[in-house]
Amino acid sequence: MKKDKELVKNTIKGDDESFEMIVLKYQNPIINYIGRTLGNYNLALEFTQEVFIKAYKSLHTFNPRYKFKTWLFKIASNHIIDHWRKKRIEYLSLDHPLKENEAYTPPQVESDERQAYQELELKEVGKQIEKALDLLPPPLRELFVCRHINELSYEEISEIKNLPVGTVKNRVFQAKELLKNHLEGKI
Amino acid sequence: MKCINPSEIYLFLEGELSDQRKAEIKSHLDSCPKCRESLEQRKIMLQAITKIPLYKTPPEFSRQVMSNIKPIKSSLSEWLQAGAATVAFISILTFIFLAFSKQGLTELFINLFRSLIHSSQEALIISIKFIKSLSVFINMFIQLIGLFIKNFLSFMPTVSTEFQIGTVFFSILIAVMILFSIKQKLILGEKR
Repeated sequence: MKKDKELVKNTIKGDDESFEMIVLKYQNPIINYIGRTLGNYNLALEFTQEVFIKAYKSLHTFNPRYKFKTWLFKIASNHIIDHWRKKRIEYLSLDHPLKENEAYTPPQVESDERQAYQELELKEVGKQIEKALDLLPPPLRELFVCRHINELSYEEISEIKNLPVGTVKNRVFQAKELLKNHLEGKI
Repeated sequence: MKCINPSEIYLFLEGELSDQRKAEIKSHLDSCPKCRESLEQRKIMLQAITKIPLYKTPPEFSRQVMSNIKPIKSSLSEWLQAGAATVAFISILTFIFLAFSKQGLTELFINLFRSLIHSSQEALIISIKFIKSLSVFINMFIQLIGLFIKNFLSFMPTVSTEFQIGTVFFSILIAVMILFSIKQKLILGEKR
């Protein structure tokens, strides 16, 4: 498979097949990123198409020193932010942020709670997490999706979102803990 | 060793820690049942996350994107088509004009040439007027800069050398920052 930068170069030269290869490669990662962040498949389908069109139009502004993948995700991220802005969804502050270095006391785990955890099939827990994603504050959900659904590295997310790596790690952790607490509340 | 922070437990499970820290955590886990329990819970959590079903685009998605891109691409050829249509329209008008007026082709071209020269003369006069106004404006700007430099130089000896160096350094820094921000805007073309 050709490398992204080569495909970009060929597209700029006028080879549309190269851009179609880019679309084929990234369509599912982008739809998952947008879809899981917004919790809406149809909207994600529409936005994913717009992201690729936007990328095509501004391909000449892509700096080959950077990774194409992060550039494309950055376009998608801006699209999500624009949507939140239009919908007046709070995307800067977090609803119930945990403090950066919050003092930690080990959880007191009940034995029946543990059993309940083990009894649940992983798939079932997965489904519950999927539902609980909508309950997360949007900015946390977005970073969680980047990390655990798109499997981007913390460094890549940091570049896409223009946030320090430590902040990204902390927010992804907050998201996981909120999901975990939600699941435990349900069990 | 203190109990492990949950955020570090996740990083440990995701293989994001240094070898030294990993070893420290492993040795702590051997002796701390609470942290082992905490780790097990989060391990299940991470495993369950991988079971979240993934979205997929419909089979014809890439074709749809490409068909939406084609109209953007053809915008240049649309301009060329519009240009060609304009030329054709002017040619037809000329032909009709020649057919219905008693003017010959040579006469028509002479008249056109005359009006072209007349328009050029008018345009030249306007350009000269514009350049004159521009030169007045530039002159004013230069005088203003000169005045600023003069005042600045008269002020400079009264302050210390450190302050002078600091001011120059600060000005350079601001200029570099402005240039860098312009460059970023041009390269990325995307808001962050």
